[in-house]
Amino acid sequence: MARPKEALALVVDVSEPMGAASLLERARDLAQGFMSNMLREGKKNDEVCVLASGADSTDNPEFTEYGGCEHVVVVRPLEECSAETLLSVDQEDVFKKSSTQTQADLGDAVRVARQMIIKRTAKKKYNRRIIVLTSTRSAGLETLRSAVDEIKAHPEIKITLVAVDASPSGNVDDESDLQSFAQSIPDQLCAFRSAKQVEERLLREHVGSKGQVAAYRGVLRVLNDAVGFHVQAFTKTRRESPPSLKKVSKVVVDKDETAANDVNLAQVSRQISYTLPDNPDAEVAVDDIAEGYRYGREVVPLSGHDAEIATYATIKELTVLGYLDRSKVPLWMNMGSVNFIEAMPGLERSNQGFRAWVQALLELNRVAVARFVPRDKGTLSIVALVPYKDEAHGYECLFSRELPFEQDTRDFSFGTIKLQSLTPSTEQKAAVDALVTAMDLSAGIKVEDQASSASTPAQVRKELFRPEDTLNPFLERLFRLLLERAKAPGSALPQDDPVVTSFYKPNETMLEAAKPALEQIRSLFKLEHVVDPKTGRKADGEPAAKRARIGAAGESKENDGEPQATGIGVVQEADADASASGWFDADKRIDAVGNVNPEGDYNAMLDRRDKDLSEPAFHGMVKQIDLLLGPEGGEEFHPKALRCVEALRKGSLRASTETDFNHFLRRLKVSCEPSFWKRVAAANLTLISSDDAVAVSGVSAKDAADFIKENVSRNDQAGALMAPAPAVPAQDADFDDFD
Amino acid sequence: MTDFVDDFDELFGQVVDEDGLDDRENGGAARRYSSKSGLMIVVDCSRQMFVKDKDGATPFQAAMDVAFLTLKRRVVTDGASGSQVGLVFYNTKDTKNENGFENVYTLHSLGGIVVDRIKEVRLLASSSECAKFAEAHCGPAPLPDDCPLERALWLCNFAFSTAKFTKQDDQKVWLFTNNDNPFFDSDAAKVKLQKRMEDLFQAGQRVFLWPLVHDSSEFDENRFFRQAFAAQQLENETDLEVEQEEEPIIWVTAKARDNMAEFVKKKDFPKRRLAPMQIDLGNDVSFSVDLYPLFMRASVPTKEKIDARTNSILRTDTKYICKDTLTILTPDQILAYFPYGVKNRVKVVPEELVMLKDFGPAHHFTLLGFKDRDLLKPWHSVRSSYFVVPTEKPIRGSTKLFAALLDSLLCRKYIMICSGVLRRSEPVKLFAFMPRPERVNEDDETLVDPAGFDVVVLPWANDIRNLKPSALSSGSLEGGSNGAKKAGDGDNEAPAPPQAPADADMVEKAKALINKMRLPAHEETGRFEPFENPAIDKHFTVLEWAVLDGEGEIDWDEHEDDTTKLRDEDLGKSVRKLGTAFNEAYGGLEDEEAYKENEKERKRKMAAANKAAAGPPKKRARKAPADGDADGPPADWRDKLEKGTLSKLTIPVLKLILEDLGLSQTGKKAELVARIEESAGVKTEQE
Repeated sequence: MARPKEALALVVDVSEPMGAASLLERARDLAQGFMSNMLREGKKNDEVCVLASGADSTDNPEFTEYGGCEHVVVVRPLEECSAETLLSVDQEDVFKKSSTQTQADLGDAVRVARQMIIKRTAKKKYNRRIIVLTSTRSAGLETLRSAVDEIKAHPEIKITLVAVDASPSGNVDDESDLQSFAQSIPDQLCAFRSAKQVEERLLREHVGSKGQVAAYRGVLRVLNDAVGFHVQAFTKTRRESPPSLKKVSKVVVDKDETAANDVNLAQVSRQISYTLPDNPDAEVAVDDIAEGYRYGREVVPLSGHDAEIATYATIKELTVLGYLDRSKVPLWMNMGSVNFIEAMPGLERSNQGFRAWVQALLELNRVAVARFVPRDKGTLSIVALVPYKDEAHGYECLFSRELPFEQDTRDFSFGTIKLQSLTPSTEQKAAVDALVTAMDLSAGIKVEDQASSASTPAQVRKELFRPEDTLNPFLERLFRLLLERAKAPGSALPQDDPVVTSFYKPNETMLEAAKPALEQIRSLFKLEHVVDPKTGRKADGEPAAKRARIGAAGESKENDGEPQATGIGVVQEADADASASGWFDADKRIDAVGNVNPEGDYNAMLDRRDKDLSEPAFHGMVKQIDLLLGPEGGEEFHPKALRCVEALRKGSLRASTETDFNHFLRRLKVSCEPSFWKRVAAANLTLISSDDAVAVSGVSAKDAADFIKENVSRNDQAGALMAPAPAVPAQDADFDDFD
Repeated sequence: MTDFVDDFDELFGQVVDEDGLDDRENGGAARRYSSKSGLMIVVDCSRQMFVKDKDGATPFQAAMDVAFLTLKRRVVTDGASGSQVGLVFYNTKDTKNENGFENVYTLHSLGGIVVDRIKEVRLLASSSECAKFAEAHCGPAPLPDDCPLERALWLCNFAFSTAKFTKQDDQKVWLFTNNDNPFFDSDAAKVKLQKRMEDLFQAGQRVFLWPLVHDSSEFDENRFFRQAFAAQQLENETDLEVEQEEEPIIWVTAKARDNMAEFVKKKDFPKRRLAPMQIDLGNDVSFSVDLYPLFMRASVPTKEKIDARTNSILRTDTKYICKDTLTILTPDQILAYFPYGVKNRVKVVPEELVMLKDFGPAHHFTLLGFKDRDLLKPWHSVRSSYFVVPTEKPIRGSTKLFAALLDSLLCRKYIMICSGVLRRSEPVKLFAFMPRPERVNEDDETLVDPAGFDVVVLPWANDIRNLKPSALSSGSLEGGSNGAKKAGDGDNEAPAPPQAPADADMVEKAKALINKMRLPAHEETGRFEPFENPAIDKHFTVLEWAVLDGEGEIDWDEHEDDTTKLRDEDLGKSVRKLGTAFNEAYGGLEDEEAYKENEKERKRKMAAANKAAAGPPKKRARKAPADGDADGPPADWRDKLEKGTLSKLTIPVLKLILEDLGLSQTGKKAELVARIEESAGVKTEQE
């Protein structure tokens, strides 16, 4: 059952006493708070009207039709809440300053509001509320008394009296007039609140207000068809997503700016068509579209009948499969939303059986594991039915949590931390323990701490960051922005106020208390930021992608002063792309070219910024290539050697060792196996020409190309250089994207 | 209002991703965060691999069986995400590989999984093809000092680096042999092999050894690789820099032959870190952890629209049309607004949305405090949890601090509460860190449970519904609230008196039944052992059937293969007896009639309650749907179907059509339309 529609009347006292100490502003803010809550939910048919009581003028239907009810102004009639309604409270003259009336006839205002609500919502399903925003000094109380009988005659309309100047707890003698009046009305028809209480309430009003729609209504089968109870289930926990953005046509907005703010204008509709993968212009006719599933890299077409065979047929059910100890199904084994399950009301036997069964689970400390299909053809899930007893009210229920399937489970292996070298000392343990004590949320904070900050109520809070009390700060920010923007389009992003901050930042008082323990931890554990060389290099402004391509681990600037905070995103990017050696050798300075990963070492050496290692790097690399191609190597080393030559060529362009490289390549040509030279030729690893680098002289692009095209002859090096050959473009495509 | 709901991603693609680690798509998060996954299957091809055992099967066939299962499994778990697999034989008499390594034969180079490869591997598992293969490839014993295995491993090393795998990627080598002496006691060969193993290890490639023997006595681990890696392992233990979990070789225990299929299912998951995280304790004291997803929802893949002629997947082309001018809008002609109320819109530009979502740097948890673990209620979780283990990168000393924190919390039975931003442009979330102690199997000293924190994603207050149990509505349902609390001043309601405790005799009988129906828990961890998802199993069984056979029986039996059903015949007599006893105690389930009667009564009461609140009902004739007569669907709906304008009909009319067609009438409008179109499409085909 969805939440019923709302009909809300906001009555703002504008009489003279409200002029004191910005009471009127406060009342206006509260009124806007109610409307903004209505707007953020965006429900159709939620309606609101705004009245001013104790105004100098009179404008209301009661007065027009029957007379009486003076000094009541209907600012907005009962209508769907919109930004306009919200703004009326700021804009209408009647709310701008208090009137000359010494008292507001609240009874009359309530009468007018009530009549409007009744007229509009008669015989329909509505939640009807009248909220009167007044002050304890307004003597309109007497007049309220006169309306008591009418209030009693319409029990469906609930009335809340809000004294904006009442003390936060709303429990002090001053306001006993209003309060006692509220209490004098039976059946909870009338309530009294202070402004503080209303604010608290407003903050949470929309929270958990979703109407209950049964997630399941049917039989809980405890032993197949033999034993069971009728139950109903409702969603208890589910991620509440922010409102979704709507597309707006700029074409229309450009012509008429106001259209942008009206939901009914400048709408965009969506049209989907299917086209061939290689020809996006060729739309495929409906008859030519079939359906299929991916299987590895292929697609398996499955026609109607086969697709049906592949579907796992389910019917609505909730069937217990067995029981486990509660500790064996921990909270973290949850896959999604949580449902609340209770016995179907009205069925005596089901109720009895259900309660006994839940009680038995509680006493044995077990949970039931069940097969759950919420409706016919629905998705099957395996759920844990966790018994729960509300001690205060003495009712039993179940919470069902979705359990993972075998296919959802990732069975990773991890290492031990119980090594000698990793065991913390007694001192270290004590320091950590002190931190836990200092930041114990369940112990509650002391009353004195609370009193010191004026904005928090002087009450002992049992538990901080209780999920039920902690609002989603992102949604709060978003809704605050929406409210500001509705009032004044284009207004700046509001700053986080302390209330929003308190939802996701540690409590300052607590953090202060934890400082000694934290300092201890810092000194005892010797936590040291090992700066990833890749991040370290971020300071030099080199883009991450480029670094990854260069792909080396070289430089390790001591960069403790610049922790990860700014570059953490980059770390990840680099992590993913880093070369094989990058991660492993991250902390080591590479000073020589090894045989495991010569290319990586070579590049790493070139990347060093603390000193110039281009020369040793070049020679180290040449040595490795020689080793790979020497008698100890063999043909199987050729691919690796080739990669080294390739790396050396690229590196030489970077490190200005082009001439050395050309020299090396000439030597290589005559010394290596012909089969290897073929590979070099195939990879187009030419001499570095003067086109490639200015430092090179005497080698033209053509020479370079010819050099490798030439047939290899161990004895005819010079000839190879001189021989003419067809012109081949010397520009190596590989270099285009290099540096 | 527009008739579609936009996803954040759609508009602000790269910028906005409300729940980046969402479980909507299978493994989507892992794909986004990390890295490739590759597997080289290396199989010994020497004579003894083709010796039949008493069952008439050869070890080689067993290896092919595993390879076949693995390929199939990877298709299921990785889908199209690009898991790469290669298959290499060594000790062959012929040579076929791109590096020209002798006695090494590459059947499949490292690459994506295609159906033909799966078929080929399955064929090799059959005894006739296996014999043919032996004839063609089975090699002689290697020469002294020669070690083809070393070259095969080297080939793997090359294959991974050629395919641009990095240390962060999942690189596995599965080695199948029944020879525990691959270097034939030659020191030269041993040194070579040792060197090779070191190379693999350094490149982040992990070798899994599958000893293909029935009895562990037939395979001496110590003789084989243990000594090859002795030096390496020793180094590990002293070198903190090496990630703790890394071992140069993973032993698939000798018993494995009997449950290799199990192993493939359970262990063949690429180990993927979701994100490196930092836990800020405050006052600039931080330590580093790695975040892993232990659960990630796998679901039946969605249907793809394909070209009926070529079977290629079609591109989906979405056009946006301005409803006022009826022109197609280019992306720069589309703005995005938030709806506010039912009448207004508010402009928020993407950059502002990013700022709204900015709650500090990504990959950071911020300590909020600690609390008693009992304060965590059964409903305090909104999605699947994560797992964190300490890492020495980038903060050295983290592991010790982690261990100390874990100990302290375990002693106190406390949990840690943090807020955190898992990735960029994702709003802050609230987390509960539940300590998990390290547990070791006393028999073989293997790690049963690693030490770490299970990170539960807590709901915000917005995510928790205020429910009012029926038991608390005074006079059950009168008042018509049925739980829809909150509408007015919620606390105006009077609490209902507490219920009397449940009947003791019934509780005892329920207990007896519960005690008899214990589910088996996981052998090692002792926790709940997940079931196979029959929907996924069945889907892929049918797909495999369609791809690999296309005829004959589909190897899926609802009765046998679906383990999530409690079969009546499995229930012992005693369980039934206890069930009956409990049944008798409380009177048993109300029958259908009583239930329906109750439903009627419930609805009547609710209606009455509403009436009481709203006054006498307005007499109003039931309005017939505007474009249809009251009894059936409009006559011209088929015309509309052909023109594709069905969606112009109202939902009640669509439901009438569906009723007429004998189809389900549930779902959103688009689903109703789709259902009608689908059924009509099927019909035309049949005709």
